[in-house]
Amino acid sequence: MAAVRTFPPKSDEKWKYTPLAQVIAAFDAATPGAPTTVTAEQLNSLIGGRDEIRLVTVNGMFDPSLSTSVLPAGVRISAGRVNVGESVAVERPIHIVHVGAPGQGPTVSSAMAIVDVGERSQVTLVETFCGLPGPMAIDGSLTLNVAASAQVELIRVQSAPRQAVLIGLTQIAAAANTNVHVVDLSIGGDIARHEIEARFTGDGAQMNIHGLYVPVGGQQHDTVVSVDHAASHCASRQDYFGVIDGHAHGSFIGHIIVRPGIVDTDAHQSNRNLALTRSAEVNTRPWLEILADDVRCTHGATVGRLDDAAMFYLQSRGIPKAKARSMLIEAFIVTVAQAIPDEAVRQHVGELIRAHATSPGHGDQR
Amino acid sequence: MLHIDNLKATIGGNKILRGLNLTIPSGEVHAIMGPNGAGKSTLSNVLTGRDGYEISGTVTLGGADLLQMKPEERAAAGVFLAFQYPVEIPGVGNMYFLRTAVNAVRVHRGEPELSATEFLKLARAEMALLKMDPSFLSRSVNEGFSGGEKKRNEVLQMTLLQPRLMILDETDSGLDIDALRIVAEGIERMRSPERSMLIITHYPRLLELVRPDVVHVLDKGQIVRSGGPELALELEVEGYDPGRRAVTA
Repeated sequence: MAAVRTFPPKSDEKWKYTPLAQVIAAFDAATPGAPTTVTAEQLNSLIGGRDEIRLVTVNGMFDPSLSTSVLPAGVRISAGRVNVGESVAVERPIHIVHVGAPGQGPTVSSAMAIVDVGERSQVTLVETFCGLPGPMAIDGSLTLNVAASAQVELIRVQSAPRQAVLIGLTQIAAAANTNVHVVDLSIGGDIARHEIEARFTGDGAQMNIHGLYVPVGGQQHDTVVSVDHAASHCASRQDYFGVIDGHAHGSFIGHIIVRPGIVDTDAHQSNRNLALTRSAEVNTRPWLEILADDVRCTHGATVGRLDDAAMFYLQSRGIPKAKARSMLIEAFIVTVAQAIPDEAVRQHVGELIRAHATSPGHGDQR
Repeated sequence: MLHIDNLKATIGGNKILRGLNLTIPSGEVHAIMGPNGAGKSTLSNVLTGRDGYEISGTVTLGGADLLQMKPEERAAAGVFLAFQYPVEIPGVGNMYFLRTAVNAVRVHRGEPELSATEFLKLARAEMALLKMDPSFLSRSVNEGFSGGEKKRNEVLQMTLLQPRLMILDETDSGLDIDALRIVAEGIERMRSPERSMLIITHYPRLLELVRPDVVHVLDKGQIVRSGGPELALELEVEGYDPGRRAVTA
């Protein structure tokens, strides 16, 4: 069922860059609609066919027929839940796919999943928001609980249809000695906001978050990342890249909290943006709440344009302007895809990024 | 054949080229020398289609009107500029860049694209001649290259793209004597009856190794003097001022 979402007051700093009135209007106008089905062929045309374990929802409803039924030992999947037991190394990625399938008029859905990863386990999780074309409002959330000494790779792919309004929340609780790596891609949607609330709940843990937002045309991509160092001897890194084209909006708020009494903290944050047009809008805001002394913390943000000298150099060698542009955009964001260890996922993400970088609509307002 | 007729170029209200005339027949190597600010770099920018200039006059290569073409179309038509300051492009692999460029030009010329294997074979052969380590292919374009390595990478691009008009902008600057010789040999290998070459230089060093057919002196946006290769040596001894007096006297 579609949950009735409550929105924060306009004064909430973390919603500063999101057009809240438009978001609320989109949710108000949408209805849950009649139950809909999506065929396996439609699903594969959206996300490709790969060897992986799938949990699929359609308009937020668990679809067992599209989900994997034969699971490896130690992995359990049910409606909105994934459970990985203790000391399990899951070889295939577990893919949570939220498919939006609009019916008559705008569709609202609540697409949720809770993932528990047991102690000392290893898993690659992919979470994709996608859908058939049409207007929709999606409230997407993932809760990831990582037990001590587990290693998790989480790749979130937001490739919702272009008419979608998507509000996403990813909550991560990382216990002692865990290693969590997040790759966060915002590609689709009309207005898409994603907030990550990550918290170290035990000592000696590491969290690396790589992100990319690439709004074109009139898209808006807002990202809020909050890493809460509530434990000692932890290291976190936020590395976000933005490529903003047309009259699109991109924003990044990077929040680092280090709690009183916490020692030996490493916290780094970087946000680099490429504004491709004069009408592209970028907002970037570091937000540091350091309440302890023993902290190494760095942060940096840049907004730049495509290098004219590099463009001319490529063109002077016979490379057409559009190709030169996509080469430079790819060069800017290549580190995000390279950060994904699983080769099949890395290729998939690389293709998504490349398809986006060369899509029509890029450069039309140069 | 390159033909430049009454070329004028203005940038930000400053007149840089003021009616430049120059013809380089196929098979000839011409050198342009001149003091700082004479318009040498502007000439190479205007010939290759860099933005930002107001231009009048005509420039044709083999009869085709260059000024109407985009930079990439000029490259396909056979124009090549060896940059004075080759641009570093982090994240773009040198091999990917070179192959994309070669294939873009081949497609434009109606030739089939080279496969990765075919290209690699060709590139390795040219790199061996330029004494470039094959590892330069796997690095980002010019990133972290020394001055000499960048210039060799320029000459490598030139030999791979097989242009009809080669413009060498201060290619000798920043090179030690060994690198200069290797680069000069690379340029000499490109000399052919079908090609025109324009060497823009401040110093006659390179001209001792790549002997020009004609030397021109550019000053205040015009060719003020032309002569044989001996003119380069004369300028080295006397500087540009006597040349200027000789013309204006």
